[in-house]
Amino acid sequence: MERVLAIVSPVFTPLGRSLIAASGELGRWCEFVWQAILWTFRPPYRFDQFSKQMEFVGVKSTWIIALTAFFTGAVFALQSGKVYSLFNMESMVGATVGLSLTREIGPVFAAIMVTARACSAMAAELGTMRVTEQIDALETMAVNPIQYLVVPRIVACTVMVPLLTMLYDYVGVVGSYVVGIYLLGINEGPFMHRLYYYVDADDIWSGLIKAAIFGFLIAAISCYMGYHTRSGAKGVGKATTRAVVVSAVTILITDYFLTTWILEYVINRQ
Amino acid sequence: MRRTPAELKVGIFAAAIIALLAWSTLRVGDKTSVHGGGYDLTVSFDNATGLKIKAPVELAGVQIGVVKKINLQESRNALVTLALSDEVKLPNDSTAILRTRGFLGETYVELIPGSQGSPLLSSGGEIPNSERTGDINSLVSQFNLIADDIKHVTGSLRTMVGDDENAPINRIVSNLDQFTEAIKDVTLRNTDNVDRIANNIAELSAQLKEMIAQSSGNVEESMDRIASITRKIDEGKGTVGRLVNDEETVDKLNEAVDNLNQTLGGFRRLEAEVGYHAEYLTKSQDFKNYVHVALRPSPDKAFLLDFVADPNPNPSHTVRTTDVTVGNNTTQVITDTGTIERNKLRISAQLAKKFYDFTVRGGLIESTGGVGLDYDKGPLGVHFSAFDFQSRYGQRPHLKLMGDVAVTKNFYLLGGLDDIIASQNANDFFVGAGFRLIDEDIKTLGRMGGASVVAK
Repeated sequence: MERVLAIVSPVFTPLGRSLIAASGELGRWCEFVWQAILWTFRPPYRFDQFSKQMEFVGVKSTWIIALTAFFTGAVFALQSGKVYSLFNMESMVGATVGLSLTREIGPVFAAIMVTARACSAMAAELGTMRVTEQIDALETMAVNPIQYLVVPRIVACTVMVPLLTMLYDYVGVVGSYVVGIYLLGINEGPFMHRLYYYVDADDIWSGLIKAAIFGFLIAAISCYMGYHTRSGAKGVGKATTRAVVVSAVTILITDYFLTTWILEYVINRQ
Repeated sequence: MRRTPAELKVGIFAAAIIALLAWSTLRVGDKTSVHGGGYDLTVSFDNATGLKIKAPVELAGVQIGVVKKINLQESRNALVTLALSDEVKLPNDSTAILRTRGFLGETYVELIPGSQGSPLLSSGGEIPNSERTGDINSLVSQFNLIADDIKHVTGSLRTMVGDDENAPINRIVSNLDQFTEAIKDVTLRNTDNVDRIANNIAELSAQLKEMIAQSSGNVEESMDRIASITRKIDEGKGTVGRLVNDEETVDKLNEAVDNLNQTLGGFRRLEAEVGYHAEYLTKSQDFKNYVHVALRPSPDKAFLLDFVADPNPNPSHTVRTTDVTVGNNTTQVITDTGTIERNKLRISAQLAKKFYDFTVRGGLIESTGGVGLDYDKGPLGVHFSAFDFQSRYGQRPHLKLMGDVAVTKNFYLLGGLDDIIASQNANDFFVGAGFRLIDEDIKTLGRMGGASVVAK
């Protein structure tokens, strides 16, 4: 028995440990999210904190979102235009880009951009506050740090990512329009007709639902990483990195399952 | 006041985006005036393949609404609900047609208004007439029918061509191939001949042309005469004319030809055989030569004619009675002279009849009367002859036993005993060889000439 253990344990001990660790991490995260949700609905409501975070997450991301959206739409139009020209269907470019942006690319890219720009900052900020014991100071002042620090950030992201996604969709279509009409020489009439014909309000709404869920998840993950930072400046860096990586991975994985559900129940068009 | 800018910015941002969202939603949702009320009509189609919800409904090419619902009606038809703009009023005898835009385009509903003055359809009403035209599906089903026909044609073609080299077309092609090959071969081999022929023909035609030019007068005269003669014949004038025009002549001619055929047929059936053989007589140390001809009108009957040169025949006796008168005494002297005339030509002429493998023959054998019996089986033959029964001078009948074996169809070897019971030179053993030619061989020889006989 001992011999068997001697062989097996070097392999399975780390595996089991990491499993236990991951489970513990997930449990703490769920507890954290649960606390955040609870504290969202508890007074006092600190609107100034909400506006600040919304400004930080949303308004200040406008330009970077617009820039990336424009070029995403443009390159998408360029690629699909080349392919559609093989069978003289260039007018489908608008519809293709519109559908892709509203359903997939808009929510995912907007969420990833927000992760990169805002959520990394959140993790770093909260992490610094944790290692410099400012969070402990809040507690001593009987201010719940989750309510004061985490809730506004999560709410701001959940609200702002869908709005940024909408902006992303629109600017992306503008980019595809510019490339399609002026570079590829596609007729404007059929281009717009097919765009309006094939893209439905359902497509936009399903994208926005996804975006809200992404916003909530990335904010929750980033705040959790920052909130539980340990061991000084090095820990802050580590927390920031983990926040971005885990958020991005979560976005892409969740996207698949969300899309499955949305295709089944929201965009249920024959 | 320090917080206000943040709130303001967020407010402006959110308002702008929401406005954008609202506008976009309206634009993409603006497929008809559905959003502004409108009314519904239903229509049932036998088959609504390709029709989607929100597909356009058009009247005279103008979109007036969308497809709102597609349901199954009584497990039989597709019941399609159309949402139409309020501005459009349709008579109750209108028609809905399911069409497809191009090959890859979407399926849409086209409405054809009914007669003017009919009552108008109100919300929830049903368009009574529906059809489906010119779409890819019906085209495909027609293509299927055509493809079936083509498949039949190619199928039968395959049985005619196919991999099987005995298939009719393949055989024709192969024959044609061989034929052209042969023609090519012949032409190549005979290029010179062909050229010569062509030259000759050219020369001939030139000469003919000349000749015709020279003798056109004669030709015309001849033609006139021929015309005159044929006219006379036709009219039954003159001998030929009467002959030709008389039915009896024809009958008699036919009869004559029939008779001739029968006669010739008899001759044709006659089988002829000529042969030669030589025997070396061991006691006499001499050769005996035979040339024989056999004619067989039927397989079992024969007329045999032999020419024999006998080196050692029995002596022929000449008895001469001479009256010798000396004084008055007359003495009768009888002289008997036996003469042997060597190599005297003798003739055998016999009639033969065959019973199974035996042949009985009789007649003149070597210029004397005689009979014989032959036995023939395959390549082997045994022959016995008895002749020259004259015994006045103490002679004994000439008996001959001979056996032969055919080496080829024409060549044979022989051996036997001659003059078995003769008083002198009895049991004269002999060996020899010979050949015989039967019918076809003779004909061939006749064509080739005498020199070839030996070679043959």
